[in-house]
Amino acid sequence: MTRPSGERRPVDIVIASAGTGKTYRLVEEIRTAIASGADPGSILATTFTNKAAAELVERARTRLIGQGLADRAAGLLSARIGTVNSVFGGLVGDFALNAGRSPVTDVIPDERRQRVFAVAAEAAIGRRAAEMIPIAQRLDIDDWAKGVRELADLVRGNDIEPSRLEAHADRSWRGCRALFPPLSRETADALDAGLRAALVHAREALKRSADATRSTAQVRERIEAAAAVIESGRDLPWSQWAALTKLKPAKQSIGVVQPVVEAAGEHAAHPGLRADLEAYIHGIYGAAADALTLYAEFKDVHGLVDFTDQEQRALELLDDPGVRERLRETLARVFVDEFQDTSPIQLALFLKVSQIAESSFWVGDPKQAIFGFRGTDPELIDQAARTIVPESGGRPDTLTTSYRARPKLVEFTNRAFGPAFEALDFEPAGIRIRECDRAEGPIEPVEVWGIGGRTVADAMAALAEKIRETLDDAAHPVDDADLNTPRAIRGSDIAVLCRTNAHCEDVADALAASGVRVAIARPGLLETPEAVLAMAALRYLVDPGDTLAVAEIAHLHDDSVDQPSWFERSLSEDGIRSLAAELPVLAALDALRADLAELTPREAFDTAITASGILDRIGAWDNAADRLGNLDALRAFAAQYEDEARTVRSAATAAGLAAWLGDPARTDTDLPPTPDPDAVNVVSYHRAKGLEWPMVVLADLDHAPKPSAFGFNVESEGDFDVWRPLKDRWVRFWPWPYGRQQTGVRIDASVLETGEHREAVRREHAEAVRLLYVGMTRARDYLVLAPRRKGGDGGLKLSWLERLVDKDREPILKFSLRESDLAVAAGGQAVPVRFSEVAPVDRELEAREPATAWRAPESIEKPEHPPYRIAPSALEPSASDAAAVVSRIELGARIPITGSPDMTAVGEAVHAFLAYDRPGQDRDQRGARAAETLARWSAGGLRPAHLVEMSDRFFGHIDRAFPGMTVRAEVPVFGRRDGQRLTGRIDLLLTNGARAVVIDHKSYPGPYDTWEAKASSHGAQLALYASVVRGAAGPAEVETWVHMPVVGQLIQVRAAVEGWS
Amino acid sequence: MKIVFGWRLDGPTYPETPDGSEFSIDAAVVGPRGLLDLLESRLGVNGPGAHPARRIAQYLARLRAIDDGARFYSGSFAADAWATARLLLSWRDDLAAAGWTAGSRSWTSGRLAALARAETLHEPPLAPGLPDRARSILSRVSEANPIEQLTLADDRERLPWVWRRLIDTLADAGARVVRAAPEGARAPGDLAAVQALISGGEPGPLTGDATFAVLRYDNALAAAEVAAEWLAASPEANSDVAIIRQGNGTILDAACRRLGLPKPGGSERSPYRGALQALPLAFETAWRPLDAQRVLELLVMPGAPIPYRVGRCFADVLRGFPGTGGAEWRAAWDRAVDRLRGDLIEEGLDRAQVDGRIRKSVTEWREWLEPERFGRDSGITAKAADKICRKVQSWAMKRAAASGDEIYMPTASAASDLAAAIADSGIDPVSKPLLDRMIDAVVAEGVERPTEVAGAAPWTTVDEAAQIWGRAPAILWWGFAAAESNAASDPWSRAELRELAASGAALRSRDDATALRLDAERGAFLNAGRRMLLIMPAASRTESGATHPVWHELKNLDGLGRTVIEGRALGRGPRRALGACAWETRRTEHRPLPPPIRDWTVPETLIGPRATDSATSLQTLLGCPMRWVLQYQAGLRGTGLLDMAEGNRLKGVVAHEVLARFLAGARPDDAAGVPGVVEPLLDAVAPEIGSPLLLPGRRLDWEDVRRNTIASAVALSATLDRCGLEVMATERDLECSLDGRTDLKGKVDVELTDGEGRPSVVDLKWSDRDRYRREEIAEGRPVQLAAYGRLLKGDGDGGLPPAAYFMIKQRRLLAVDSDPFPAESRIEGANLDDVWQAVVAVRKRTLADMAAGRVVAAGVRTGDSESQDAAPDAAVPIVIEPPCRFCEFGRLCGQKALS
Ligand code: SF4
Repeated sequence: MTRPSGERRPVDIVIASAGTGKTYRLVEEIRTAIASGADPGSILATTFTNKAAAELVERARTRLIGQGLADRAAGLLSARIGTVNSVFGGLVGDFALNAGRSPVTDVIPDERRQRVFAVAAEAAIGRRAAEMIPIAQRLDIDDWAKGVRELADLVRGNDIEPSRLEAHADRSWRGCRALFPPLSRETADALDAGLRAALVHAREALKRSADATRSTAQVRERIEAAAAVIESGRDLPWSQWAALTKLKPAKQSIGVVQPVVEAAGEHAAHPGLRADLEAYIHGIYGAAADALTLYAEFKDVHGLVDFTDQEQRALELLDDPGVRERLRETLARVFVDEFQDTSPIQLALFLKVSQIAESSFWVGDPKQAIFGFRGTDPELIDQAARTIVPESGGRPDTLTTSYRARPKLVEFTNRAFGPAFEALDFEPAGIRIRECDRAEGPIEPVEVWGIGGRTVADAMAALAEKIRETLDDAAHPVDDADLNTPRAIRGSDIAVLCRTNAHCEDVADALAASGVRVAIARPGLLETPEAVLAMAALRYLVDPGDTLAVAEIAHLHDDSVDQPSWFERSLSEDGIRSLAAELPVLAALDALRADLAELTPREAFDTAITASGILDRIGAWDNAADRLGNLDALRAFAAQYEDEARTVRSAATAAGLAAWLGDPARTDTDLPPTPDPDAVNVVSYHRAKGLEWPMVVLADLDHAPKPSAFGFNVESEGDFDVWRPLKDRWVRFWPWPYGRQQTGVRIDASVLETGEHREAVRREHAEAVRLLYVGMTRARDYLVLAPRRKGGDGGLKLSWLERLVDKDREPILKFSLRESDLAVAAGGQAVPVRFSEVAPVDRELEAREPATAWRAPESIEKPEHPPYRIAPSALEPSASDAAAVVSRIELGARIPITGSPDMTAVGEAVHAFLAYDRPGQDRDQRGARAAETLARWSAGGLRPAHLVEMSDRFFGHIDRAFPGMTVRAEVPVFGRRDGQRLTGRIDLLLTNGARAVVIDHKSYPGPYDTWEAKASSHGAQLALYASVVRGAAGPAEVETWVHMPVVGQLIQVRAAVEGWS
Repeated sequence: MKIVFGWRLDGPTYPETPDGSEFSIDAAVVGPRGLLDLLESRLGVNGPGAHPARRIAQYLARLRAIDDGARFYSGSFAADAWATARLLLSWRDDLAAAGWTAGSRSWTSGRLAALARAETLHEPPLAPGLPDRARSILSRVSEANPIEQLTLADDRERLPWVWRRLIDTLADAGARVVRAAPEGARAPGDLAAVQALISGGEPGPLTGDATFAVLRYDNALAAAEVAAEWLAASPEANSDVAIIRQGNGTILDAACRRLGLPKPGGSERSPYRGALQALPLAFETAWRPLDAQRVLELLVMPGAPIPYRVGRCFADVLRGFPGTGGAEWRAAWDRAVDRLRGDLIEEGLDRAQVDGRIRKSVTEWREWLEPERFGRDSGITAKAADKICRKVQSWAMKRAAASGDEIYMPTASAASDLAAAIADSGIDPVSKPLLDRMIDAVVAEGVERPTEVAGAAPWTTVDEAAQIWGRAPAILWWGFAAAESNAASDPWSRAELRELAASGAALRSRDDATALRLDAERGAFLNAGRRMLLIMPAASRTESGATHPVWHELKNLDGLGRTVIEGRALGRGPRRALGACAWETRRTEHRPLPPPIRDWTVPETLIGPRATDSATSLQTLLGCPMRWVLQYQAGLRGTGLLDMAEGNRLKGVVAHEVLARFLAGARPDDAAGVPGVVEPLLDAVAPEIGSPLLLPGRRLDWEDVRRNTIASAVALSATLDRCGLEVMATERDLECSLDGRTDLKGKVDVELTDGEGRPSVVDLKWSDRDRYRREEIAEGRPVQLAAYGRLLKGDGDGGLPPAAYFMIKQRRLLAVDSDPFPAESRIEGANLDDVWQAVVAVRKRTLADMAAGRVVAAGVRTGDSESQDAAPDAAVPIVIEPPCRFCEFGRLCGQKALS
């Protein structure tokens, strides 16, 4: 312990097993805190996803408002609630000045991080390239720089000092070296030469040999390839050495090949391999240490941070006394959701803030920690949870009522997992659920489907068929979670869980083949016709020379019965571009091209989509709703493209978007899952976390990943101190030197004896149990175990389930299958289950009516609507029939303008002065203001006295010519007619009851003979003003005048504008 | 003057005039900006505004002037002067709005003291911000108040101090100040209940009476159609409708257009409008090493600074050989000048005029294509940066004049604002990150689409709910979701706030700002007169998952579910009802997707032989006639505008060129000397045709090229020496007649001759594996080698000369014949003469088929095709696998399934 417990502030921890109302409790805690006086702005809460954060805020606010605390609820909108990164990233940003860092923390999005690291760290990596590339080649490692990146991530994620890496490298090498047999007594060169000689000899012998068997032919090819590598001066990778020990020629050639097998068999004792591994390990650690420094510098210079930085910097910041003091003013309560998925560095963060805030509340379930591969350490979390509460003086609590699953399901999980978690040493209080707030259903909720079929494909087909039956036979009523009433089961009520994404796709394919709709995110978005059409439209929009795009557009718009007509057209004299004249979509896109200069990439894409008629095509194809969803997903890409441009602060163009979408890196883009309520969900166990369905089907129950001690592993040494979770962590790295040769290479056997391997096995076992727990607890009404049968009709393949063992390593669930009867027992007691045999069947699919779209019919007439808004000052002179000049009044001589000043500035200054100045005011003050005005507008060429003179003669005339009228300057006006909006300002408006005069100042300096033409060109503008003055219940008689102060003219014009006069 | 003033009322509003009438004079609905503009121009004290980026630059200069290294901001300032200045300026502006007087006392807080010091400087200047303008107009207003009536749309108490002062001053000067309070609860049915809830009452349960309805969608395109259908369903009622179009309106526009309605319009402010990109691109192309992709982007952008016809010459070269200064690049210049010359002569200019215009254009183009370039680390000089700004500005002005497109004016001003900001900041040279930030600041606010998209319409549109400040009979809220919040937390500690308060400055809290926004948005609900329709994205559709804050309130309504319609349920039948509106839809007639076709037909004799074929086109013809037809006869081309050589192709281009130059020159006598010759070649070639490899982050790729090129030069050189082969020529263009009508043309990589003068040919290949090429020879189909052999043989007699591939990455020759190549390089299985005979025969047959009107897409397998399942034709002496994997026509022929 590092601190006396007296100083600690309490941390309450609640263990919430699956389905026990975790979020409800969290919301309730927040609500109570606020209702009892906590400032909502002083709340800090972290969740696993942005959506969870949004939901938390929504629910807490709804409840507070419901209690009449709307005012207090508003504060929650700006509280620190979000993912760990958004919350602590925000904190880092707020206190950037304290840390002497850039206040702009642009977060590097995960997709870009790799690239940024590569740029930043390339000196570190490049410097070692000459040395590392050949080693990596020999070790059959494709991307050694990736190793550097991986290691760097681990080092930062565990807050390890880069200077300690050298020691970690030594230690890794020592452990790794021990896996190998003693070194050969021969030198490396001698061993190489031996292999080379054996290869050449065998090659020549085989050339001459009469052995024409296939196996020998294969061996011969391998030998030739290996010899060619060596003869061209390259090194033979160790994986090839290993492979050569496994050559299996036909009997008659064994003698010829045996020397190769023997020479290659020396690989494990080869000094070269040892040297390679040692150099490789040190190279990776050395590069990582350098790269970390460079990466940090780079981000500083560019004002970038990544997720780990946010955490690391927050950690540093929380040690700063100034920051702590300020935070004590603004941080009252800390809430942590899903604490089991906390990484060590995040744990450290939570502990730090918990000691600043008055109190903390954490909720989660160590049994559901399944993100070990993301750097969380489930054991560490479980230990921490158990230590923190007593040491901080907090209260422990357990949620023990299930609101999700039916009672019998709860009982089944309790029995299956209780002893398993006990064996894993979990906190006993949090293992079992005691009560259940659901009613029992009409049938047994646990089912076992024994899936027959020899091949995977057969089995998947059988499973799919069974699901279809389940949907058809109405034997599984479910409780609607929203309405709490029973109803028939439908597709979206079912989820099939698989271990890998690839399996998910297999199941989805099988379901689709059975005619069942499936909701699954899977690659292929860009291969859908709607995406092809959308991208072709975008490409054609930006580049009319893209003839392939023309063909694709024409192809997907073709309704010919036979061969599409674009083909022949493409071979005509004028080529395929001549289609533009006929195909309306092409013409539409052509017409829009001129707009590209003003469109954003997103708008350009939307424009291309809508102009290309995709929506109409989609409506006519099958599965219109899904396709619309695909298109929406595609549109989201355009936004992502712009976001990326924003983070790297670079240009973004429509052509750039087209290229970005076409990037091969995006070929595997996922199709979004269909929103169809009849579609069955297929998801991986990991992704199922946090979700629930009425019926959950567990597939892949025979899945058993191989634990491996190779690769990178974070280990802890010494005693674990919960208040310093990052102490004494180190990264071990044993590279695998044999590529895809996984067995029969000596070290695959020797590693089994190591403690490291046993630790890997232990971790893997615990993870398997937790993942299974997560899977099983997703079910509300029915849980289906769907194991395959051995050999297609034999026993059930349940190796994963069998890993549920009690303290004595005895399997908890015992399955005995006799004939078509399955008995399941747990702890000697029978467990009621329903068993069905599921055998593959052949069934003809009935043709389904195509699901086209329902839409309002397109309007045949599409009138061109005039613009919504018009600004009179921006009107083109042509907007009216030429205005008539009615009369002209000479106000005085031309005011001389010296030099060639910016006439716009002069005009502005004159306007400004005439708006305010009146002849009656104090003359000196007027002069001063005139000077001020000219200076403010940087208007040269005029003297202040000139402005005064302009004003004097103009207003002098006004007084004489329009006596007694009210004078207003800069008068805002608005008018609406036939849906058009007019806004503007009248320079000068004179009114009395019967008459109005609209005057516009134009600082026009042109020659005598152009004055009237100039004045009449503003006729339309003035006519619009006049029409608004009349419209606003002003006098019917409105005169319009153009005042030219520079040349001393006042010219009356008259004009009319269509629709407005 | 009658004014309605609200915090968010700059921009469109509802009602549009203070009294809701169709016409108004001397009256306006305004926000802070609009109010200041009106007052200032009435009082004659308006002036040219300063772009926010300039103010940041000016404040930056002030902060630097007082930075002694120990200021509270010194560390951050050193790390990122721009962002620090921007942040502190925002603090300073907030203080100004709170009535802070910097010089009123000496400040205990180090932060306040520093800001006060910056505030009291006279130089460098700082242009006034909104609060400064508001403060400085106070005295003028009390002298001459032009406002008779001021209606407040917000709670005065929530406004920052300086605005409260302005309101008070106006009141003291005679303006009648009233509050426009939404009355609420005058609406019928469910809407009344909603209003009761929002105004703090106790509403009864909702009944689903259609006065209030929510459409929750998971597909924006579908939702836009429904919204448009709703508007089209009862056109006579639309003059009562206020549309709030939050977020992207393009798709709503399209949906309305489809139904013949006017477009509601509205465009977001965005820094990514087409023409605006010239500014960042001009800078992005001014760094060394060159980012060729950006040059390409500049060349193909709409309204590009180099006319498209000419720009294409450069763009085409950049795609294949990304870089500048190489032979290809020089040829592009020649072509470009020729094109221009041709155009000018056609215009009828005389020689002197033509030459003059060409000189001028060439100088201009050079500025864009080959400006002075600066290292990314060292930064660009302020002078060069200024020059770039001017260049962009003058281009934009010219475009504005020539095209009349309004977008070019904001582009020109962005360029001049940037120039001004750089000058104001006094920084020289400007590092790339800093420059990027400045560009960002200049364009960050973005530009709206300048052309009015919206059509004259009976309804009124606003951009956000807070702009509805008075009674609106019907409201359609498109995009009812949480607006992005940028709630920065309050920077001041309690002690600092105390100190500020003691000095009379009253800072508004963050909660006030939140409440102000929230109240305005709730106001939209309270102002709804008869009906209200919310169109909201399902939480799963938004990135943050956040719903609108008012939704959190509504969730307390009993029976809310009765008013919510899920989008996907709505799309499923002929009749749709939404709110009080119902209408019919029709089921779209089904049309199947185009099926795959293997046997295509054309009129006889439409397709004949080409005038020339190449090794590649022959390979294509044999592999898949359809691909050959589409590519060479129909000329279909899908190379994107920005598709530049990348990956292995790029590496191959560079390695190829280097090896060709190496072999063409004098080779050192022993292997140890080879790297010394090859390395300088690599360094010379890369910037010319492989510049992407030199960019930051590409070092490993570059290493890959270097290593392999050097090693292969060593290996190849040794092999040639060992075999007594001499290089006669590299990359030589050769040509011979294929048959009477077609010539075979091609560039032969390496031509060799042995001691006795017998020729042979080597083709260089960059590839990760050599397996494909080995199999090709072993299985008797090295079409390209045969073609090269044929080209080299020319019109001479006898058999084809020997040919081999040299695999660069594998440093290995793959030869069809061993002589003159080393024995171990021979792959058994082919005889070049036979291969060539076969090629000629198959070509002839295929052409005959085509002449008869049949074109086969060889990779397509369909159930009912005649040709595909026929047993392999013994008469076909060479079978080439259809190259579908590399073919871009798969979606046309149907080889890539569409579903
Ligand atoms: S995809 Fe295959 S079949 Fe279709 S054109 Fe290309 S090469 Fe021929």
